[in-house]
Amino acid sequence: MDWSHPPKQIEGLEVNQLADGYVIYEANRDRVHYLNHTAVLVLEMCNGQVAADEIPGLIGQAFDLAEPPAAEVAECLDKLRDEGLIR
Amino acid sequence: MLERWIQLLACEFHVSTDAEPVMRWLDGVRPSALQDYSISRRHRLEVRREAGGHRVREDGEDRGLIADPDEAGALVERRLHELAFGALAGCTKVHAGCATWRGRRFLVVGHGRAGKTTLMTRLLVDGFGVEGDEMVLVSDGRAVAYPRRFGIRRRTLGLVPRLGALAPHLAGAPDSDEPDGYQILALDPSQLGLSWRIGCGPVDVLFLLDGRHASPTRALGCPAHAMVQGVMAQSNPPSGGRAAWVRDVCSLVRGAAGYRLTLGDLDSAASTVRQCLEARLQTKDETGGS
Repeated sequence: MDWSHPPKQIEGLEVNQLADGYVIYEANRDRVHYLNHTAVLVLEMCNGQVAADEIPGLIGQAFDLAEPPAAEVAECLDKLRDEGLIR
Repeated sequence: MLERWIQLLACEFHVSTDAEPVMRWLDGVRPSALQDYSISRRHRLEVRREAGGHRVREDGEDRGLIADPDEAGALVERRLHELAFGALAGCTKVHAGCATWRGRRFLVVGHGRAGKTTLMTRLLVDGFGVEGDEMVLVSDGRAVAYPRRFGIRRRTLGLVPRLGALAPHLAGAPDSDEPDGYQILALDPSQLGLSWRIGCGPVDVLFLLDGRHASPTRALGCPAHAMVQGVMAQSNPPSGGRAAWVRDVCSLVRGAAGYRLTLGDLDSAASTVRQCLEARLQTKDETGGS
């Protein structure tokens, strides 16, 4: 994964919040995705302005973690990319 | 001239006919429910006897000449529902029964033959405020039962014996000629001496029917995202498209506690539903919810 690349979520996503996660409707491909709270936070940070290597630190701050969750964020970004939600 | 004013949620219909059999047919299927829903459209349907049959007109426009009065009545009934659904095209349609209990609204979501009507009928004779057995319209987080008489199968009379006691005329209905042996009886709760009132509001508890078994009925808490999947599988999109569909279902699920309900015997089903609603009442009381 290129950590210097600022990932960006695709256009046309509609985010619906639930108690235990989020339902994302992707209009372009008429697909529905189910994401947990952390994945949506990562997705929100994928605005094309934030480099991938900054995201673990931001997530660590958001959840008051001792260490930035680099491996988990990398896995999450891979999944979001595989699902076609970011590029 | 025989006349009826019939409300089906957003539509009010004035039906008139000079053919008594046509009105008798319609009186056998029209719902008596009082509906807390604003009327936005009005239509006029007329059936007049003439040489060769019954002339049907809708808002003055000819809809055909039908020889048989029952068929003329059936055409009018079909048009009532088509027009009513047309006025509600912006709503998501969910295959669900709808009821209230101690001021809390709940839905029982499931496919045809999943047991919705049997369960809702049992709840009705148990004193729940059952508003519909089959179809619920959802928009902006609010749900309303579509006013249609309950489609009781003859088998349900055996499963809910009190129904037969309250409405012996149902048991005397003619045998079915359907290939699967089911007779659908159009039950109006007023026939049981019960009031039938349809309201519109947010849903407190959602039950997703998840099969049947021989053991007592079981309810398991269901995560919200799984409820969304389950409800979407049992619903049809609104005219606003699939994004609006997802939005409607999410808004429905967001405010509700969700359960997967595996139906066993009806005694345990009724008590299980009651327990889940009591748990919801308690949760809301503790959190100060309304």
